[in-house]
Amino acid sequence: MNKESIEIIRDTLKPDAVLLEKTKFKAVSTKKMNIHIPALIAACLIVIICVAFTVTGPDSTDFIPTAPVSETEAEAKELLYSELVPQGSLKENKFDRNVILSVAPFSETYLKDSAAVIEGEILSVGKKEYTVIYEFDKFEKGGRLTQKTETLIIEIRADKVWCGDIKEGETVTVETEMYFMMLPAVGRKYVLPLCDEGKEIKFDEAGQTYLSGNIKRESIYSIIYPFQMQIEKTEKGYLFPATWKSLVTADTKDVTVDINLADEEQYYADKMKLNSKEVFTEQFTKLLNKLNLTN
Amino acid sequence: MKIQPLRTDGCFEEVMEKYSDMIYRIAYANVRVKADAEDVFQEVWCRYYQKNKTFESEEHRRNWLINVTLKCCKKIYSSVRYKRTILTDDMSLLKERLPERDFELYDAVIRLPEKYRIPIYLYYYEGFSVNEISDITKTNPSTVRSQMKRGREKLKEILKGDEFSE
Repeated sequence: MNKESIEIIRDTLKPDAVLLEKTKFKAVSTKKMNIHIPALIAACLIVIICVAFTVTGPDSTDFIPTAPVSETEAEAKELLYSELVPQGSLKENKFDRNVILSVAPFSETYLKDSAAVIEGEILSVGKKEYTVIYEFDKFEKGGRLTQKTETLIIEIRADKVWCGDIKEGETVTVETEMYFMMLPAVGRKYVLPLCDEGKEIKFDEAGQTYLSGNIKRESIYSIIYPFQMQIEKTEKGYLFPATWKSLVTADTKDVTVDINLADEEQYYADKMKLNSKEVFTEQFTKLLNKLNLTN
Repeated sequence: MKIQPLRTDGCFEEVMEKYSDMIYRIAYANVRVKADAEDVFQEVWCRYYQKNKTFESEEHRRNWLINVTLKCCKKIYSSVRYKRTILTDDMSLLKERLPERDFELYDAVIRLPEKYRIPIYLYYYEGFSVNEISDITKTNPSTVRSQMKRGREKLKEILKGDEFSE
C-alpha cells in the first residue's frame, strides 16, 4: 500500500469535533464526580444523623413520621428490576449460557421472520444433547473429532397468541440452539417471537462441522433473537430492552437494574424499560400491524 | 512533549489532540463499527484521565494508550452485540476514496484474526517497528515477527497476491 492511500485512510477515519468535545466533557466530568462523591456521602450522612436526632429527640418522642406519600411521589419512585421480577427463580436455574461471540444487533424487522408470537408462562426448561462431528486435518488427514452440543428446550403455555397458527391455551415447545440472555425460569411469563427452524437441527452447514445421529428437533419453533433480554410480563406491566424502539413512548418508564448481571448482559443494564399493559398492547399491536403480522 | 506526571485539563487536551486520530483509527480497525469505535475512543480517554498515571516517557504514554485501546476493542468484539460484518458509512467513504486494490487490502487486514491483525495493522498502517509493537502488545519481538509472517501469508491467500513484504 502506498503512502497516499495511508494518508487517505488517516484523513477519512478520524474522530469528529462532536465526539472530541463529548469525550473531553465525559472524561473531565467523571473525574469531577469522583472527587465530589465522598463529600456528597459525608453531607448526606450528616443530614441523616441530624434528622434522626430531631425525630428521636426528647421533645418529639410521640412524633412518628407517618405523612402519607402523595401519588406523584409514589410515581416518581424508582422502578427496580428486582422488585418487578422474582429473583429466586433465576438463582435456582442451573443452566449455563452458551458462549456467544458474534451476533448482529437486534432489529424489530426480524419479526418479519416470525412464525408466531406468543405470550405465556414457562412450564418447564430442559436441555437436549446432539452429537457433533468436527472434521479437521491438524493431526492427520481426514481427522475427526466427536463432541456434544446442547439446545435449550422450553415448554410455554400460550395464554395469548399475538400472531401465528397456535391455539390459545396450547402448550408450545420451543427449542433454541443459543441460550437466552437472562435464562428463562419456570413460572415467569414472556412474550416470545418464534421462528420456524424446520424439523432437523442445523449446525454450521458451511463449515467442516456437522451433526451426527438423531438430528430431529423437539420442536420446529425457536426464539427469533435469543441474544437479548426477552419481553417479560410482570405485575406492573411489560419489561423490555430499549432495542424495541417502537415500544418506547412518553409513558414508558425506565427500570433500574439493581441485580448482578453477567458480562454479556451488562449492555442492557441501563436499557430496560417498562410499559403498562395498555401502552404495551397498543404499541406492540401497531408494530405487528406495520409488519403485517396480526392474525 | 515533556513528561506530565499530573494531568491538568490543559495537558489532557494537548495529549488528546496528539493521539486522538491514531486511537480512533486503531479502534476502528479493530471493531469495524463506527459507533463501537466511538465507544472505545471515549472509554480510552476517560480511563486515561481518571488513571492520572505517571509515564516514564512519551513513548510509554503512547504505548499505554494503544494498549488500552486494544483492550477496550477486545471487550467490544468479544461481547454479545458485536456484529461480524457491517459496512458502515465510513467504509463506504473509504471505498470511494481509496484505489480498489488498497481498499481490498485494508478490508482484508482488518478482517484478519486478532493475533495477525494487530501487528500487521500497527506495522503497515501506523508505521510502528516490530520492537515498538512488541512493547505495545507486551509480546516477544520474535512472536510479533512470526505473527506478521503468518498474517501476510493469510493475506496472500485472501488477496491472491504478494503485496506485503517486510
